[in-house]
Amino acid sequence: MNFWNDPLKVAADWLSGVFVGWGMNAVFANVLVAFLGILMLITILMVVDIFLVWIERKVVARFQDRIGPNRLGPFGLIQPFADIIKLMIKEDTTPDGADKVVYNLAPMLSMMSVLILWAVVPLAPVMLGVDLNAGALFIIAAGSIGTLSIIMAGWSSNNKFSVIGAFRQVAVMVSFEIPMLAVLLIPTIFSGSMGMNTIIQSQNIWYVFLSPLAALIFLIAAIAGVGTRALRSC
Amino acid sequence: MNEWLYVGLFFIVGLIIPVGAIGVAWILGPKKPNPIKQSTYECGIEPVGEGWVQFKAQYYIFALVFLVFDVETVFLFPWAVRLGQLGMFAVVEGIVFILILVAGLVYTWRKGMLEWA
Repeated sequence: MNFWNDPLKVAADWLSGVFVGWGMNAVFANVLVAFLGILMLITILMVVDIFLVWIERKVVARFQDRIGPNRLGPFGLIQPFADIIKLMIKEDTTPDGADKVVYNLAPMLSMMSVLILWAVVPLAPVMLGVDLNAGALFIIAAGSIGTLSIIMAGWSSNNKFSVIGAFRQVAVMVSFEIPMLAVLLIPTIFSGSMGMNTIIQSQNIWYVFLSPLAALIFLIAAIAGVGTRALRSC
Repeated sequence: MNEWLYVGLFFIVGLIIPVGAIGVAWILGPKKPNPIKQSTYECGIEPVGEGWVQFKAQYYIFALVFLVFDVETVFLFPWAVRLGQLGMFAVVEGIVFILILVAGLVYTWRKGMLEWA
């Protein structure tokens, strides 16, 4: 195995070899290496996400004729870190009337739905979590957990406004999920596979150019589906 | 390693991260509960009655119509994978399948269930 063809595989094999050398069970060593790999991938994603939040705040601020975060660090780049620290040292309250289990489970599910998407997203041909043969469906299914978490959060807090808000947001997300699923059929038809890696590998001509309308619909539906500010129901 | 075992491991890590974040916040944050702070939060106004109100049954019908089309697309995915090999027969079959479900949507529409009144 050449290191430069598949560096992650070589590194993983080496690491599991080290673990086995310490007297660990081979299967357990593989699971542990996979665990560390997932943890690394998620850590990278979260750090990227911190700066994406900064970009979103800056861009939305420009839309609204403001300048956005600009106090901490150059162009306010440190602002998200300050916000994280602030959120960490704030009191975490659960209202007495709320459904305590569901109330606390909702944000966890919301985050999990975003993180597990990346199990099938290939960053490079050899740099991916797992190449499921139902990758496209997995992405849709994992994304739908986000819808579930919104209705859980709205319903459990025992607040009439949040219930109404959750209903409205779920209606938006649900109605944009159908076109998103429908246009995902097009790359599936073109490549004859639902695996993300196969879809990417079979694009001699980019599918964006083969069916631009589908790409546009998917883009809009995906923006609505993640519930970002651009297409929020309010 | 098995692919789905890996996905399961991803689920576990995906849950550990937010649980850890909330756990750290729980450790670092102050804990000074009082009755007013713990009351149901409704934008500072005293809540009247329960938040768990009855919602309109039409919302349920919307969900049912959504479910029909959600399941439809899930069935269309295996169809799409083999469409290249199966040719014209599969195209006609797919159209018939979609038309059957569209008939249900038209029925719901004609019944006036999609109007929010």
